[in-house]
Amino acid sequence: MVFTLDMIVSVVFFMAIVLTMLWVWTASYMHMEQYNDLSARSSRLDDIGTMLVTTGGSPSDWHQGGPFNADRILALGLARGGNELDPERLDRFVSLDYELLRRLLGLGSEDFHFTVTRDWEGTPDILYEKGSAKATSEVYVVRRFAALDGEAVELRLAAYYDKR
Amino acid sequence: MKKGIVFTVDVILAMIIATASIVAIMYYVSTPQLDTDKRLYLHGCDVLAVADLTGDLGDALGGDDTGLTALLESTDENVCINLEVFNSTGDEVLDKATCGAPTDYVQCKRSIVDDGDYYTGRARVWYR
Repeated sequence: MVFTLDMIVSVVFFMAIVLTMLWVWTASYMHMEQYNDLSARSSRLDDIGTMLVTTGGSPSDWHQGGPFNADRILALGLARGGNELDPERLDRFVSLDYELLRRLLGLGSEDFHFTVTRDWEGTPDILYEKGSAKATSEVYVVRRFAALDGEAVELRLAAYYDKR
Repeated sequence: MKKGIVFTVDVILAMIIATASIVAIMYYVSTPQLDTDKRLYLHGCDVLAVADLTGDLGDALGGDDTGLTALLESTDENVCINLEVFNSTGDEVLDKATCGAPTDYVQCKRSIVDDGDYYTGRARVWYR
Protein backbone atom coordinates (compact mmCIF):
# COMPACT_ATOMS: atom_id res chain seq x y z
CA MET A 1 0.00 0.00 0.00
CA VAL A 2 2.78 2.35 1.00
CA PHE A 3 4.84 1.28 -2.00
CA THR A 4 1.87 1.81 -4.35
CA LEU A 5 1.10 5.27 -2.99
CA ASP A 6 4.76 6.14 -3.23
CA MET A 7 4.88 4.92 -6.81
CA ILE A 8 1.71 6.81 -7.77
CA VAL A 9 3.10 10.01 -6.31
CA SER A 10 6.38 9.42 -8.10
CA VAL A 11 4.70 8.79 -11.46
CA VAL A 12 2.43 11.83 -11.09
CA PHE A 13 5.37 13.97 -10.13
CA PHE A 14 7.47 12.59 -12.97
CA MET A 15 4.68 13.29 -15.46
CA ALA A 16 4.29 16.81 -14.09
CA ILE A 17 8.00 17.40 -14.57
CA VAL A 18 7.94 16.02 -18.13
CA LEU A 19 4.88 18.12 -19.05
CA THR A 20 6.46 21.20 -17.51
CA MET A 21 9.62 20.60 -19.51
CA LEU A 22 7.59 20.21 -22.71
CA TRP A 23 5.68 23.41 -21.98
CA VAL A 24 8.88 25.31 -21.27
CA TRP A 25 10.48 23.92 -24.42
CA THR A 26 7.50 24.95 -26.57
CA ALA A 27 7.36 28.40 -24.98
CA SER A 28 11.10 28.88 -25.49
CA TYR A 29 10.89 27.70 -29.09
CA MET A 30 8.07 30.17 -29.82
CA HIS A 31 10.02 32.87 -28.07
CA MET A 32 13.01 32.16 -30.30
CA GLU A 33 10.83 32.08 -33.41
CA GLN A 34 9.38 35.48 -32.58
CA TYR A 35 12.83 36.84 -31.89
CA ASN A 36 14.19 35.51 -35.19
CA ASP A 37 11.24 37.08 -37.01
CA LEU A 38 11.76 40.41 -35.22
CA SER A 39 15.48 40.33 -35.89
CA ALA A 40 15.03 39.53 -39.60
CA ARG A 41 12.48 42.30 -40.11
CA SER A 42 14.55 44.83 -38.19
CA SER A 43 17.72 43.91 -40.07
CA ARG A 44 15.92 44.09 -43.41
CA LEU A 45 14.62 47.57 -42.61
CA ASP A 46 18.14 48.68 -41.65
CA ASP A 47 19.41 47.40 -45.00
CA ILE A 48 16.63 49.19 -46.88
CA GLY A 49 17.50 52.42 -45.07
CA THR A 50 21.17 52.03 -45.99
CA MET A 51 20.25 51.24 -49.59
CA LEU A 52 18.11 54.37 -49.87
CA VAL A 53 20.48 56.79 -48.12
CA THR A 54 23.85 55.66 -49.44
CA THR A 55 23.22 54.40 -52.98
CA GLY A 56 21.79 55.73 -56.19
CA GLY A 57 20.04 52.49 -56.97
CA SER A 58 20.63 49.94 -59.68
CA PRO A 59 20.64 50.92 -62.46
CA SER A 60 21.75 54.34 -61.27
CA ASP A 61 19.52 56.10 -63.82
CA TRP A 62 16.36 54.36 -62.62
CA HIS A 63 14.73 57.72 -61.95
CA GLN A 64 15.30 59.07 -65.45
CA GLY A 65 13.41 58.60 -68.69
CA GLY A 66 9.75 58.51 -69.53
CA PRO A 67 7.40 55.73 -68.45
CA PHE A 68 8.68 53.85 -65.44
CA ASN A 69 9.80 50.32 -66.22
CA ALA A 70 9.87 48.36 -62.95
CA ASP A 71 11.27 45.24 -64.64
CA ARG A 72 14.69 46.81 -65.13
CA ILE A 73 14.98 48.00 -61.51
CA LEU A 74 17.27 45.88 -59.34
CA ALA A 75 17.41 48.25 -56.35
CA LEU A 76 16.12 51.67 -55.44
CA GLY A 77 18.45 54.34 -54.13
CA LEU A 78 17.88 57.99 -53.37
CA ALA A 79 21.43 59.28 -53.06
CA ARG A 80 23.77 60.85 -55.57
CA GLY A 81 26.57 60.04 -53.16
CA GLY A 82 26.87 58.57 -49.69
CA ASN A 83 24.35 60.35 -47.39
CA GLU A 84 23.69 63.02 -50.04
CA LEU A 85 20.08 62.72 -51.20
CA ASP A 86 19.13 63.54 -54.76
CA PRO A 87 15.94 65.65 -55.20
CA GLU A 88 15.32 64.12 -58.65
CA ARG A 89 15.38 60.60 -57.27
CA LEU A 90 13.17 61.63 -54.36
CA ASP A 91 10.63 63.24 -56.69
CA ARG A 92 10.48 60.09 -58.81
CA PHE A 93 10.34 57.84 -55.76
CA VAL A 94 7.29 59.52 -54.21
CA SER A 95 5.53 59.66 -57.58
CA LEU A 96 5.61 55.88 -57.95
CA ASP A 97 2.73 53.59 -57.10
CA TYR A 98 2.66 52.56 -53.42
CA GLU A 99 2.27 48.84 -54.09
CA LEU A 100 5.05 48.90 -56.66
CA LEU A 101 7.34 50.67 -54.20
CA ARG A 102 6.55 48.15 -51.50
CA ARG A 103 7.54 45.36 -53.85
CA LEU A 104 10.70 47.12 -55.05
CA LEU A 105 11.78 47.84 -51.49
CA GLY A 106 11.32 44.18 -50.62
CA LEU A 107 8.88 44.84 -47.80
CA GLY A 108 6.59 41.91 -48.59
CA SER A 109 3.33 42.18 -46.68
CA GLU A 110 4.40 45.12 -44.55
CA ASP A 111 2.92 48.57 -45.05
CA PHE A 112 5.30 51.49 -44.92
CA HIS A 113 5.45 55.20 -44.21
CA PHE A 114 8.34 57.09 -45.74
CA THR A 115 9.23 60.69 -44.89
CA VAL A 116 12.11 63.05 -45.47
CA THR A 117 11.93 65.85 -42.94
CA ARG A 118 13.80 69.06 -42.41
CA ASP A 119 14.08 70.57 -38.92
CA TRP A 120 12.76 67.33 -37.43
CA GLU A 121 13.51 68.34 -33.85
CA GLY A 122 11.98 71.80 -34.08
CA THR A 123 8.99 72.43 -36.34
CA PRO A 124 9.06 69.39 -38.62
CA ASP A 125 8.89 70.28 -42.29
CA ILE A 126 8.04 67.15 -44.30
CA LEU A 127 9.63 67.55 -47.71
CA TYR A 128 8.78 64.13 -49.14
CA GLU A 129 6.23 61.58 -48.02
CA LYS A 130 4.90 58.25 -49.23
CA GLY A 131 2.42 55.98 -47.49
CA SER A 132 0.90 56.68 -44.10
CA ALA A 133 1.04 55.49 -40.51
CA LYS A 134 -1.00 52.35 -39.79
CA ALA A 135 -2.55 50.92 -36.65
CA THR A 136 -0.88 47.54 -36.44
CA SER A 137 0.42 45.40 -33.62
CA GLU A 138 4.04 45.78 -34.71
CA VAL A 139 6.01 48.68 -36.12
CA TYR A 140 9.67 48.96 -36.99
CA VAL A 141 11.32 52.29 -37.65
CA VAL A 142 14.64 53.20 -39.17
CA ARG A 143 15.91 56.77 -38.90
CA ARG A 144 18.78 57.94 -41.05
CA PHE A 145 20.36 61.35 -41.41
CA ALA A 146 21.45 62.77 -44.74
CA ALA A 147 22.12 66.01 -46.56
CA LEU A 148 19.66 67.42 -49.09
CA ASP A 149 20.64 70.56 -50.99
CA GLY A 150 23.22 71.33 -48.31
CA GLU A 151 20.79 70.94 -45.41
CA ALA A 152 20.54 68.19 -42.83
CA VAL A 153 17.38 66.06 -43.16
CA GLU A 154 15.99 63.01 -41.46
CA LEU A 155 14.88 60.06 -43.58
CA ARG A 156 12.39 57.96 -41.64
CA LEU A 157 11.01 54.66 -42.83
CA ALA A 158 8.44 52.85 -40.71
CA ALA A 159 7.22 49.33 -41.53
CA TYR A 160 3.90 48.12 -40.12
CA TYR A 161 2.54 44.61 -39.78
CA ASP A 162 0.30 42.51 -37.58
CA LYS A 163 1.89 39.67 -35.66
CA ARG A 164 0.73 36.20 -36.69
CA MET B 1 6.95 5.20 7.11
CA LYS B 2 8.34 8.50 8.42
CA LYS B 3 11.68 7.85 6.66
CA GLY B 4 9.77 7.34 3.42
CA ILE B 5 7.98 10.69 3.74
CA VAL B 6 11.18 12.54 4.58
CA PHE B 7 12.82 11.00 1.52
CA THR B 8 9.90 12.04 -0.73
CA VAL B 9 9.97 15.66 0.48
CA ASP B 10 13.70 15.66 -0.12
CA VAL B 11 13.22 14.45 -3.69
CA ILE B 12 10.38 16.89 -4.31
CA LEU B 13 12.54 19.78 -3.16
CA ALA B 14 15.43 18.60 -5.33
CA MET B 15 13.17 18.23 -8.36
CA ILE B 16 11.62 21.66 -7.83
CA ILE B 17 15.04 23.26 -7.62
CA ALA B 18 16.28 21.34 -10.66
CA THR B 19 13.18 22.26 -12.68
CA ALA B 20 13.40 25.91 -11.67
CA SER B 21 17.06 25.97 -12.68
CA ILE B 22 16.36 24.38 -16.06
CA VAL B 23 13.46 26.76 -16.71
CA ALA B 24 15.61 29.76 -15.79
CA ILE B 25 18.46 28.60 -18.04
CA MET B 26 16.14 27.92 -20.99
CA TYR B 27 14.50 31.33 -20.68
CA TYR B 28 17.84 33.05 -20.35
CA VAL B 29 19.15 31.30 -23.47
CA SER B 30 16.04 32.24 -25.47
CA THR B 31 15.91 35.88 -24.33
CA PRO B 32 16.41 38.20 -27.32
CA GLN B 33 19.80 39.90 -27.34
CA LEU B 34 19.26 42.62 -29.94
CA ASP B 35 22.37 43.56 -31.85
CA THR B 36 22.36 47.33 -31.47
CA ASP B 37 25.98 47.94 -32.50
CA LYS B 38 25.03 48.07 -36.17
CA ARG B 39 22.48 50.83 -35.59
CA LEU B 40 24.90 52.80 -33.43
CA TYR B 41 27.57 52.50 -36.12
CA LEU B 42 25.18 53.68 -38.86
CA HIS B 43 24.08 56.56 -36.63
CA GLY B 44 27.69 57.69 -36.09
CA CYS B 45 28.49 57.44 -39.80
CA ASP B 46 25.34 59.39 -40.71
CA VAL B 47 26.12 62.25 -38.33
CA LEU B 48 29.74 62.45 -39.47
CA ALA B 49 28.74 62.43 -43.14
CA VAL B 50 25.98 65.03 -42.69
CA ALA B 51 28.28 67.30 -40.68
CA ASP B 52 30.80 67.09 -43.53
CA LEU B 53 28.31 67.47 -46.41
CA THR B 54 26.41 70.41 -44.91
CA GLY B 55 29.63 72.30 -44.15
CA ASP B 56 28.99 72.30 -40.40
CA LEU B 57 32.22 70.42 -39.79
CA GLY B 58 34.21 72.87 -41.92
CA ASP B 59 32.64 75.80 -40.07
CA ALA B 60 33.52 74.20 -36.74
CA LEU B 61 37.12 73.76 -37.87
CA GLY B 62 37.06 77.45 -38.73
CA GLY B 63 35.85 78.32 -35.23
CA ASP B 64 32.06 78.50 -35.68
CA ASP B 65 30.54 75.37 -34.17
CA THR B 66 26.92 76.64 -34.04
CA GLY B 67 25.72 74.39 -36.86
CA LEU B 68 27.59 71.35 -35.61
CA THR B 69 26.24 71.79 -32.09
CA ALA B 70 22.69 72.09 -33.44
CA LEU B 71 23.19 68.96 -35.54
CA LEU B 72 24.52 66.89 -32.65
CA GLU B 73 21.71 68.03 -30.37
CA SER B 74 19.06 67.17 -32.95
CA THR B 75 20.05 63.51 -33.13
CA ASP B 76 18.58 60.71 -31.04
CA GLU B 77 18.13 61.67 -27.37
CA ASN B 78 18.96 58.16 -26.19
CA VAL B 79 22.28 58.17 -27.94
CA CYS B 80 25.43 60.03 -27.00
CA ILE B 81 27.90 61.07 -29.64
CA ASN B 82 31.45 62.32 -29.44
CA LEU B 83 32.73 63.85 -32.67
CA GLU B 84 36.47 64.36 -33.02
CA VAL B 85 38.59 65.59 -35.90
CA PHE B 86 42.33 64.96 -36.27
CA ASN B 87 44.68 66.73 -38.67
CA SER B 88 47.16 65.02 -40.98
CA THR B 89 49.75 64.75 -38.21
CA GLY B 90 47.26 63.06 -35.88
CA ASP B 91 46.67 66.02 -33.58
CA GLU B 92 43.12 66.52 -32.35
CA VAL B 93 41.72 69.78 -33.70
CA LEU B 94 38.05 69.40 -32.77
CA ASP B 95 36.23 67.60 -29.97
CA LYS B 96 32.46 67.91 -29.51
CA ALA B 97 30.39 65.65 -27.30
CA THR B 98 26.78 65.44 -26.17
CA CYS B 99 27.57 63.41 -23.01
CA GLY B 100 30.47 62.55 -20.76
CA ALA B 101 33.25 60.14 -21.58
CA PRO B 102 32.08 56.76 -22.91
CA THR B 103 32.98 53.42 -21.39
CA ASP B 104 31.76 51.24 -24.24
CA TYR B 105 31.18 52.69 -27.70
CA VAL B 106 30.98 52.07 -31.43
CA GLN B 107 33.00 54.28 -33.76
CA CYS B 108 32.89 55.37 -37.36
CA LYS B 109 35.69 57.17 -39.21
CA ARG B 110 35.62 59.38 -42.29
CA SER B 111 38.23 61.15 -44.35
CA ILE B 112 37.57 64.88 -44.66
CA VAL B 113 39.08 67.53 -46.88
CA ASP B 114 38.52 71.15 -45.83
CA ASP B 115 40.19 74.13 -47.53
CA GLY B 116 42.72 71.80 -49.11
CA ASP B 117 43.72 70.25 -45.79
CA TYR B 118 43.24 66.60 -45.00
CA TYR B 119 41.54 65.52 -41.76
CA THR B 120 40.23 62.35 -40.21
CA GLY B 121 36.86 62.51 -38.48
CA ARG B 122 35.83 60.07 -35.81
CA ALA B 123 32.35 59.67 -34.33
CA ARG B 124 32.10 57.62 -31.16
CA VAL B 125 28.54 56.60 -30.34
CA TRP B 126 27.03 54.91 -27.30
CA TYR B 127 23.74 54.60 -25.48
CA ARG B 128 23.05 57.13 -22.76
